[in-house]
Amino acid sequence: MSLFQLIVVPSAAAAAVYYIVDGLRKRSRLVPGLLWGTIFAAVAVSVGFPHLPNMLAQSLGIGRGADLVLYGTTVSLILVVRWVYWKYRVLEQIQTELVRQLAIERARFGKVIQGDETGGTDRTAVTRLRKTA
Amino acid sequence: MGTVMRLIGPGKERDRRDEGRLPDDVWVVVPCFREAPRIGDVLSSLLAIARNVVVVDDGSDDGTAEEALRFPVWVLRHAVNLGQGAALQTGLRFALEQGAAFVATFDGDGQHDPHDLIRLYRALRETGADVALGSRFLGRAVAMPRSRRLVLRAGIWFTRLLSGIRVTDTHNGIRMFTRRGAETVRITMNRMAHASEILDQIAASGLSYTEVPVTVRYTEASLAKGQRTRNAVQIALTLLGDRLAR
Repeated sequence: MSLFQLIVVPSAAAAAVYYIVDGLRKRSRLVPGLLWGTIFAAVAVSVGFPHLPNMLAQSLGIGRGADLVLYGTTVSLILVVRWVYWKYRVLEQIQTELVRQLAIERARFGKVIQGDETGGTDRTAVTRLRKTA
Repeated sequence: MGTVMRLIGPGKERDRRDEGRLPDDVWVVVPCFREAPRIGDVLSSLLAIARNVVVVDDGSDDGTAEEALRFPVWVLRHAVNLGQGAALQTGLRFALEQGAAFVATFDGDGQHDPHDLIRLYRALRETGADVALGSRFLGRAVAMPRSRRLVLRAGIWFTRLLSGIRVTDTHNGIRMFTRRGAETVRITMNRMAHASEILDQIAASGLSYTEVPVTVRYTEASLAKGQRTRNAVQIALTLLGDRLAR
């Protein structure tokens, strides 16, 4: 066993156990726990037993185990980027909605023209304006 | 796909109300960011033809909102800078809440002519369209640099490819919606990609639209603040990224 395997296999295996146990303990973390546990377990197995990815790759018609890992990583990366972008957009929309609501609630009317009673400096004025519209 | 409504010339029975001033059920939304030196002139000229003006200060730190409050206009202030698209949507929502029958958008940097709003209003009345889009390529673009013209032309073709909508000017800040149009369009692109998003939504929702010749005057200030070439690339990437992520 190489030095790389000696470091990675136990570390990945420990991480897999940690995530799986953590997921099983807390129901809210079950799905991410099992997901990360599976990923780390796959890393431990692939590095510890390099012939296994090769066998799997050949059975899928890919050829080399390294190619199988590369393809898997590429697809995973695309999915992760898409998920992160979606999450970013959701957060952006929440922030925008908060700022927008605050701006509307605090709407102010500027210098009031003499004789124009629709002006004001707070929300009450907005309501008054709506009534007169 | 949005329907194009052609402006066939002034009708004989033209509503006299739209000759020199916009009726009171028309609201004008003016998005602003760091426009303190210019907003006064913009509002002065705007108030000469419109009664209901909403200034949306998009988190400026130069006193834009305070300057706008010197005029009889509504001033809404974003606590942080979100972008022009977000400011427009805030203004649209506010105007609709106040019962607006028509809502116009008008840039706060002074590059538009307020009288073009009357032409937009008239076009909506005469064609029955839901949206009137200003076009500097049908009208006039004063002192527009050649590089800006090229970028805008590229934007037109990009929008045709992406949205399938055929317009002559894709990123013009002067436009007018009927209430139905304003209620249908929902801007989610906070920054400059909102102009393409509006066209995208017009095409997708089947709103009818018409293009109206308008004048855009480029000044040093508007050129310094306006979209640069690299912004155009950024807008294209944002739109493509969003389309891919759907």
